[in-house]
Amino acid sequence: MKKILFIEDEAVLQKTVSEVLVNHDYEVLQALDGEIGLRIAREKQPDLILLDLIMPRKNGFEVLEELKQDETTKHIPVIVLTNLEGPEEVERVLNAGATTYLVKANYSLEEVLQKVKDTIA
Amino acid sequence: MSPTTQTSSFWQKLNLVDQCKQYRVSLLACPHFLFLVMGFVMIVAMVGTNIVAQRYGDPEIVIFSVSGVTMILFIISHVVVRSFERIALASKAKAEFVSIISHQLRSPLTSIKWLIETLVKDSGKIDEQSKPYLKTVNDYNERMIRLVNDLLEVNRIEDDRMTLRLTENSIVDITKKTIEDYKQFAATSNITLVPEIDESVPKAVFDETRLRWVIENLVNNAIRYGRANTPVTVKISHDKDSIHWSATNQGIGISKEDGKRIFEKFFRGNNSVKLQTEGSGLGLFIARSIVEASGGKIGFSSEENKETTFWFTLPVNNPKKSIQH
Repeated sequence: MKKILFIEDEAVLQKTVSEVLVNHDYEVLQALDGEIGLRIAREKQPDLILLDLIMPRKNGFEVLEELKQDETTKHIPVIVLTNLEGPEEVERVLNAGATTYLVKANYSLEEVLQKVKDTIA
Repeated sequence: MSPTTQTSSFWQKLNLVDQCKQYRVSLLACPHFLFLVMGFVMIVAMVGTNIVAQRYGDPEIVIFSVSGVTMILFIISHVVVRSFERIALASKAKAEFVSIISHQLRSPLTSIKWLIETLVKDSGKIDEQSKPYLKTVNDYNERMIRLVNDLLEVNRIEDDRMTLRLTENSIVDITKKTIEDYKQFAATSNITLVPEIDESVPKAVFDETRLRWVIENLVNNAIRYGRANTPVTVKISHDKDSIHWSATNQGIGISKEDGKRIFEKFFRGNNSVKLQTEGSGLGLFIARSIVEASGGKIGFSSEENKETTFWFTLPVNNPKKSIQH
């Protein structure tokens, strides 16, 4: 069973997306802030990380940059799932090594699930 | 433009109180008024200096009066600069406010969107009678998401931060897909979508997502403001330099007066307000910005209560092939 780490501070979104992923036979690890997310990523070595950007304690940009600098986690694909979409943010995230950048409000759950499937097929 | 309008807009521009009200600043902090004062001081100073110079042959008095006037002008200039600064800062604060609010709105809107999707998918959770209500909630939610997206796009346009993601695409394919997607919406308004598409139109370089947005918006408008039991014709053709796209409907049309402002931000024509309450007045403003940033032109022709055509062109060989803006 593939492991997905979902780092998102909004509890409702965390629950909704996790349920869908579990229903499609993924194991879901949940983190409600960047610091916990980073720790789980190092300890549990997930197959994919879904990452929000605006979060308490450690934001998504910092998490992504640390993940990509760490030899043990740099290979893990990261899908950024956020509601920010300024050109600077998109550029920073893609330069830092994110696989895909999705603006939450513009995607259905079905489409998010499809991106997950495409990334860890 | 009719002579009456020309005259009225000329007098409007001379009405300083009205002009300053638009900036929401007092008369003494309004650049228009301060410029007028400065001009007046300069005329008085020149005449005064001339009189002083003629009456008193003493150069020291002339120097003294010129220095005094220069100081007054310096103070007024300083106030003008400060008032411009205040207006610029207010505009920046407003743009930041829109951006923060829009991002904050997106999170709950996403939660609602995804929760409804979960409910609808899991048919056991919801009875048949409730489904239409849920669909209405979903439609309103999608409308709010579109509005927030449009506000953010306007903000980017005004900050000159709109980044086009340019790739080679087929405007024919995008248009055909849009016509397919809007068929049902047209049918509910008793309108037939008639494609007149030249299949030999070449591919071009543009931002696919944004141009799709423009095409959907223009087709949507043509249906929304078209008369029932009439066609909406969507046409694509090309010559050696550019691709021509247009959507024509039969309907209430746009008055000459409204036509002058139709591409302005937040503007909604009188006829459109009569027909449709929905609409933010942002669509055509954004469409114009996207088409122009892509190296094309956008426009319309309209005969009230007869036929209206909105059109845009795109260069076949887009010189702006790299990311710009």
